[in-house]
Amino acid sequence: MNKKHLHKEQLGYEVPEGYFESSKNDMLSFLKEKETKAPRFFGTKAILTTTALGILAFAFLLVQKQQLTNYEINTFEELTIESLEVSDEAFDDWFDEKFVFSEV
Amino acid sequence: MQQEDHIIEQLKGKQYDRAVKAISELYHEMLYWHIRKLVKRHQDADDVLQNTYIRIFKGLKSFGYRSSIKTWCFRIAYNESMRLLQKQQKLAYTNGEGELTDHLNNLTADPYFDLDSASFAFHESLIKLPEKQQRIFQMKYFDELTFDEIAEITTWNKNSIKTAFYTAKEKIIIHVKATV
Repeated sequence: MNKKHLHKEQLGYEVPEGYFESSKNDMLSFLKEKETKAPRFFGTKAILTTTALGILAFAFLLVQKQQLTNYEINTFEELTIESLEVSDEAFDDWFDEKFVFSEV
Repeated sequence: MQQEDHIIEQLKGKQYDRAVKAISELYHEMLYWHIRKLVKRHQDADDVLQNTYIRIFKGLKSFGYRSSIKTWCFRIAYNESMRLLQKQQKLAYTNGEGELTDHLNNLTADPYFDLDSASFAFHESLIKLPEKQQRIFQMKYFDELTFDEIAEITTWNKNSIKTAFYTAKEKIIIHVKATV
């Protein structure tokens, strides 16, 4: 005895003609429609993720810029400290080679 | 079981649309009848079935593989049915209605219920059972679920389910024998 028959015979439950086939299709197309209406990319999670990534990228750029500035200062400091330790001639040679010649 | 393996493969491949389609091919009718016996009216069963599909579709992405797909779907359907029944109960309380879970009240209002064709003695004995016994008996007898599956779906204790089922069965047999 199939399910439909069993339920009809013993419980008196009926369903409209062709209900199972049509409802199955209806439910599946409803889900499809629901998914199309609210694409995942524009969901709340996606917006939050994009915002978080944006903030991270901005912070990364800021840190990079800061590090670059620090590097320049460090180099200058190293330059002046080093100039005290080596002879003037050696320093001039090094300075020329490092900064003057490279700019020519 | 092989068909369930196929669904699991689709899930692992993140083919959720196909998985839902496969679930509907396998369990659509079973889920409907499971819900119908709990909520009684066809229109309610149809609404609950739709909500069940929505939850299944949303839940598939986080399916934990701890139970079978069938049990998982039945559990969602069961919970959705309970949700509707609770809502109806609340509404009935506010409307001042007495017999909230009156099986016949719901059924006679349903155009898709044919009392004449029902095996009346059997039906009557089923209605007279306490709610829990009624649900368990229907899940076992009509939905052909195992005790383990019923326990997973309802979160009731397996032994109490067994006891409730055999008690219900006894009561029905006695009632039917006495009536026929």
